[in-house]
Amino acid sequence: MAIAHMQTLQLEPAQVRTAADFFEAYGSYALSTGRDQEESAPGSAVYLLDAASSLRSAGQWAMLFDSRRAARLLARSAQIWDTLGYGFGTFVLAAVAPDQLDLFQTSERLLRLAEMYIPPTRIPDSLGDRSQRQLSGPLLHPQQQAYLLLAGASLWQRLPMEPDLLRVIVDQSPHRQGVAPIGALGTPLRLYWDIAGRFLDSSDEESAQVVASDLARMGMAYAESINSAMANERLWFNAASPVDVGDTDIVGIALASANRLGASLMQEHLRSAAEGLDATARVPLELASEMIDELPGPAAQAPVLA
Amino acid sequence: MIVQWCMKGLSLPDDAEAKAIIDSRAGLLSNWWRAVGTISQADKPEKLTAANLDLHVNHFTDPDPVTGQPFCELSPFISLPSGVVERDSVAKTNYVHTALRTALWFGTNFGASDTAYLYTCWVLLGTRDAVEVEAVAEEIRDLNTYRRYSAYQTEGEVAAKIVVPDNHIAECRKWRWDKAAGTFALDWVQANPRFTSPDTLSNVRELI
Repeated sequence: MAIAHMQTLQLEPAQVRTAADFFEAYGSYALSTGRDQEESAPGSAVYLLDAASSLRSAGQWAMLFDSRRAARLLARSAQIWDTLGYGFGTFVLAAVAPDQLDLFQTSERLLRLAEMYIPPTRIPDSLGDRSQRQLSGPLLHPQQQAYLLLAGASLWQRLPMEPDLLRVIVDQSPHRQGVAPIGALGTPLRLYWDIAGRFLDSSDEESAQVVASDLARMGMAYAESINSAMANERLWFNAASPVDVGDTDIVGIALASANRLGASLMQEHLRSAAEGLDATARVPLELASEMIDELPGPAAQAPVLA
Repeated sequence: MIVQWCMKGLSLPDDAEAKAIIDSRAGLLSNWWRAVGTISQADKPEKLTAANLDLHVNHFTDPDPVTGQPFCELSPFISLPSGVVERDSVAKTNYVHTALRTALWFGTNFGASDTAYLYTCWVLLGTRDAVEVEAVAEEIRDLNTYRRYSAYQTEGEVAAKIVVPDNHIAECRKWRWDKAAGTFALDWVQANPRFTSPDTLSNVRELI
């Protein structure tokens, strides 16, 4: 399928591989030189953001030809984002490498988010004084909250926290109706909130169908975005267009869905949802499907907590 | 006005050509100037238009409707990566555009070469769009002036006009990408002895 995707996107395989190699090498360079500089001038995290962004680009390009390499690169990127407090990193880790996710830290962040909507008496005493706790800077942004919520909801059976608290965030946050754009496709925030709610529901079959349908709609937005980006042929054919050719959000949501709802069920509904889409719109769904096939799910990676 | 530091990445045949850009004192020329050799003041208004900026940004290699030649060959604009690490933007996009990464990608001719020549320079930006004004560069950013102009602008890119003057260029750096080892290394740096610091434009008067 890898060659077929690149043919659909009119991209040369060699250029795609070169882009993945370049951004991986640059990400490693940024990390190593940044660490050296931080020793002499502590405090700046720009190099970490630079490295995380570059590794993310590398992972996106690798999706087109090597799912396992893509997962490794995205996990390296996500580790950095997660360490810096970005929900995006938690989401990507939960999707591609749930075994690498710090479940206790994720729960603590979700509790901080939940306590915005619940009485103090429901917060575990172990978290200490409420007045001393606050969301990290990135999590003040609704987009980062949405990613964190998706991550938590997809792994709720493994998190050391009451699922009811996740339900509180889903049902009570004003962002459940949010229209702020999120992700490379500028998807309205509320769609991510809806998907998180689906992960908490008990009807897996219906949830898989609805989420696959949502992903198909995102696939159509992807096709529109890609077709417009192709207008600048110099940037497009040189892998320099400012668009995400491998869409982390679509693939991440599909993987998170497979982790939560089951790989075979999600695969079945992804295939069904992709029918009738044009070839470009199918690309991100098929990439997601390939990554679900290639990666072990959380059942194989992380134990369910009692 | 804003003073914006930028980094121009060029893929050039050898060190001599890279150093000649500084030694010649010509500055970083637009393709238009390089193609025609001599330009006149009277020709500039016809080139510095919003339509041409659109062609430069969105249809760089498409035929110019006036000349029939690829637009890039006669573009009066010069794309310069400047980077974006603004905190709110990062939280919304999960991405940081740094000038070095972008300049290296362009300077290696999108990975075709293992060397890149990067010129560090500064330009003046207006706080509003002013395509017709040669003295100021245009900010081509998703999140700013041109957001509705085109949805596909790379953040952290500015478009200079006609030429980046010689004394705005601080230095040229040669970078090597060792593809086998997956590493980048700085090879050499050539400073521009005629460089003028943008501090010259500062409106802060020091106490004497």
